[in-house]
Amino acid sequence: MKSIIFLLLIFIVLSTSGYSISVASDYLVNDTMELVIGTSKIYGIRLQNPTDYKVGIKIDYDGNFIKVIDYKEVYDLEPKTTGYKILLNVTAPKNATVPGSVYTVGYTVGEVEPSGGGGIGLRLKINKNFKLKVVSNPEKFSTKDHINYDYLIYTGILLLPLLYVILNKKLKKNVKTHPKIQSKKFKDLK
Amino acid sequence: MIIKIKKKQLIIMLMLIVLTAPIIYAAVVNNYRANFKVEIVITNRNPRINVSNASGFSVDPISGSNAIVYISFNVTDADGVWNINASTAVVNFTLGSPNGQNYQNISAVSTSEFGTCGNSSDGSTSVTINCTVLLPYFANQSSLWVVNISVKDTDGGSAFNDTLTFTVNSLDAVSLPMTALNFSNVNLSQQNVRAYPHLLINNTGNDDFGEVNMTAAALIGTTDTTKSIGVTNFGVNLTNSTTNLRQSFPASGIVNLEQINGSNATLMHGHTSAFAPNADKGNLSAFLWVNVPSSGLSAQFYNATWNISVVRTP
Repeated sequence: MKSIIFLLLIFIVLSTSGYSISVASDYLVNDTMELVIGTSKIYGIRLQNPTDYKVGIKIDYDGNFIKVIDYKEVYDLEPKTTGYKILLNVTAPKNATVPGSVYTVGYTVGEVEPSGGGGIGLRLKINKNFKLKVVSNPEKFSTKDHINYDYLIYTGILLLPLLYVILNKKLKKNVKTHPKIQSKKFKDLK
Repeated sequence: MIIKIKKKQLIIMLMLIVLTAPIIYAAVVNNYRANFKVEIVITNRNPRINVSNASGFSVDPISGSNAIVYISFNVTDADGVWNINASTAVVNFTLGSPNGQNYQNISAVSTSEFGTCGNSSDGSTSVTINCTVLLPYFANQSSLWVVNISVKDTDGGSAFNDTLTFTVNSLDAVSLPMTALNFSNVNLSQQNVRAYPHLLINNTGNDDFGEVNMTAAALIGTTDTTKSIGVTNFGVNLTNSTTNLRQSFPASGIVNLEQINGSNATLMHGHTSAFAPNADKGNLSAFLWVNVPSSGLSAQFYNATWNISVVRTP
C-alpha cells in the first residue's frame, strides 16, 4: 500500500504573467485622514490589473466609516487596466466627542476567482488600513478651544476690588436714602 | 569801512559758503583729470523657464512597471528662439536632498540628443518643450516630489526652475511571478515534500506590508471528493530547509508568516534598482511543504483555493 504512487497537489497558473493584484490610492500624509466630527470626505482608489487576463475584484470595507459610491459586487477589470476609479465616502463618527480621537479604517480588495483559473488556485488579497483622526471644526466657536480659564481667573481677581468699591458706594447711598435703614442705623447708634 | 548787512542776507551767504565749500575744495585740492571709457557689451541673455503643468498634480505608480509622467514647459530667450538649445533640457524628479531619490528624463542620462523630449516654437523668442519621465513603481509615495527643470542656450547661458511640486500616490500591489507551483508525484507517508518552485511574493507597489498571511484549505480530490488532505499536513517556512523553523498550518488554515520563528516576514517595497534603503527589498520567499498521510487517499488530483493576503497597517 505504501508503495502506491499517485499524482497529487498540483498548483497551476495558466497565465504567463503570473498572479497580481493592485490598488492605487490617494496619498495621505502619515497615513492619516483628518475629518471634522460628523463630516465626510471622498477618498479615491484606483484598481489596476497588470495581467494579461480579465479579473474580477471584490471590495470589502468597514461600514462604520466607509461607504463605496456606486458599489458593485464585483469589479471586472480588463487586461492592463491602470485606473479603474472607485470613490469611498469616509465619514467621521458623530459620537466622537473628543477631538483628536483616532480610528483605524480599512478596506480589502481581493480577487473573486483565484488567478489562472486552473488547478489549485491562489487568491490574492490586499488589506489596506489608514488612520482617521477626528478634529474639531475650526470655523465653529468652541468654548473648550477658545476660552483661557487662567486668564479669566486673573481678570476676576483684578476686578474684585473694583466690584467692592462699586457695591460699597451703592450700599452707602442706600443707607442714606432709605428711611428704614436710616432709622435702624440711628437706633444702633443709640 | 562798515558794511551793513541784513540778518537775512547773512544767513543766505553763510548757507552758500557751507554748500559750495566741498565743491571748491575738491576742485582745488584734487585737481586731477583722466579720460576713461565705459563699454558695456551684452553678449548673451539667459533663457527663462515657465512651467505649464498645474502645480500639485498627482501620479499613480503602475504595478510592476513605470508611470509615464508628462512635463510641459516654455523657454523664453530674449536673444531669440534660435539661441535656445532645446536638446539640453533636463527634467529631474527629486524627493529629499542631497541624497534623496531622483529620476530623470532619458535625454539627460543617455547619449540621445533629445531623448524623451520634444519641442515646438511658439514665436520668435520662445519654445515649448515637452518631456516625459519614467517613474518606477517603487518610487516613494510623498507629496514633496519636486520637478527640477534646466535648459541651456547655445552660448552656455542656463535657466533653472524648481517651482513645480507633485504627489506620488500610494500603490499597494503584490504579484506572484511563477507560472507553476507543484508537489509533483508523491507517495503515501512521504514526509517533507517541498513544492517547486518556491512561492515568491513580489511587492510591485510603493507601500509596505507589515503582515503576510497565508490561508490554506484542505485539498479535495477532483475525482473522488470524499478524499482530502487536511491543512494540518502542510507547513511553510522562509528557508529551504526540511526541518528548520517550519510553521505547520493550524486547523484554521491561517498562518501569519511573521509567526515563523526567527523571521521578520514583512513585505517592504523596493527593487534592486531602488534607492537605499529599499534596494534589497521588495520580495519575500515562502517554501511550502507537505507530509503525506499514510492512508485514506486515492491516486488522483487534489485541488483547493488558498488565499494570500497582505496587510498594510498605518
